[in-house]
Amino acid sequence: MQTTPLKSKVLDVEEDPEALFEDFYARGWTDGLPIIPPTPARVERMIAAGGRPANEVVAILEPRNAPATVEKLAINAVMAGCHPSYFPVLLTIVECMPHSGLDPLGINTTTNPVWLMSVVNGPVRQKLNINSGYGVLGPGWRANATIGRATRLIQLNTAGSIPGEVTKSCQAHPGRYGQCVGEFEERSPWEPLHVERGFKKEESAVTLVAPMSAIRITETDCKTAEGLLHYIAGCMDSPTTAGHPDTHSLLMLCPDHAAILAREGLSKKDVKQELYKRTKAIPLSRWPSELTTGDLKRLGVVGHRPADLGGTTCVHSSPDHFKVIVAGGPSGYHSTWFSLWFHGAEIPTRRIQLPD
Amino acid sequence: METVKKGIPTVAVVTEEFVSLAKAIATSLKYPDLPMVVVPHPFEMLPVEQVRKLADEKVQELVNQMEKPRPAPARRAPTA
Repeated sequence: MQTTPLKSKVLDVEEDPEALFEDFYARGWTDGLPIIPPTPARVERMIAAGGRPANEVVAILEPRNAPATVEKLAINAVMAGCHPSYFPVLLTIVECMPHSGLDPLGINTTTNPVWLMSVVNGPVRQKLNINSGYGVLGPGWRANATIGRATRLIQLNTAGSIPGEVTKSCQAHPGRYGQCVGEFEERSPWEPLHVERGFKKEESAVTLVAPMSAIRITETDCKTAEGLLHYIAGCMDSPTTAGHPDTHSLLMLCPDHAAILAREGLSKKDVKQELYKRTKAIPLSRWPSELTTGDLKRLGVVGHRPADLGGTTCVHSSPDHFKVIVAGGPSGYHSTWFSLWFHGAEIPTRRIQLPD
Repeated sequence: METVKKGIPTVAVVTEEFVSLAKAIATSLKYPDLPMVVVPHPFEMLPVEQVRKLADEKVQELVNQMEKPRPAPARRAPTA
């Protein structure tokens, strides 16, 4: 399918994998891990798998304001170790990147640890073996690992988010090596994320979010929805996660936690409402007393409602700001709550267009 | 950059740690010569009196930068 000639510079480099890795590393093009050499043949195979011309501009990425062409994205995909069949998913992720709800300039330059996570829904998960079960947030599945890694390499090499020089993330986060997860729709008692957001169940889609933190929710003894919701809300009650009410967050429930909530008849909407109810009066005493009301207003902690000045704030200003998915192994009671980038707003979801 | 586009004299005040980021963004916006005054990092945690002292030390440099004639930001060539 690829008929447009490649435009990227062809480098004369050593074939030896170690020497080539040293070369690319010295140029600042890697994440510190070895890469697959992006030979013209490999790049053309990747482009062909995407079904779009090499010179098509998929997005303009900040801060470099560089055109992310299919060719450049394919180069990064090859380097990351993506199988060509993964490329349509990666293209869809890049389409999501400039979404204003993500604040792309902010996430690529901030001092915050924020990273990008792709949540994949639909039949493409089985087709590409995108893990949604055991170890979903960890290593072991090529699709998850390399799609996430390619996303990060694109942020580095195309968007220009160079660690220490442009992205001033103080400590960063392991998520910056890349994070791509599938939702475990088959073990969820509720509609999947992409259906909530207007897509058909049989369609495949990706949602791009920007977590700032991952809070462990290990609750192994509660047998009631009330108990579990109380526990989850308690995990959200901290100055580092509360206090930015206009943002969104992602609650990744393991299948067994989701089952506890659903067996008492709670829908996903009910879960969000119950979490909102339990987290809308976080005492301002959680914040250090040296911070004045002016500081708290500037930080966005207060000032959202007149009642805030009476001594409380909220985790989110609306139940809809809680996004809920089900993922992880059906082996226990470990969930994760991701507080999302506090300058972001509504998150993007796009249909994955698989080539004919 | 919005003030630059309006022709208002503009100087970026940047702490040492953020000079590379400021230059990268200015370059991406086609204004690599954006005037800058660099201050020590960090200053957010400094007592107010020290911040004021720092401002007093840097204000003349800021004014000098504002008064210096600068070329306009690079524009795209007009297309036919």
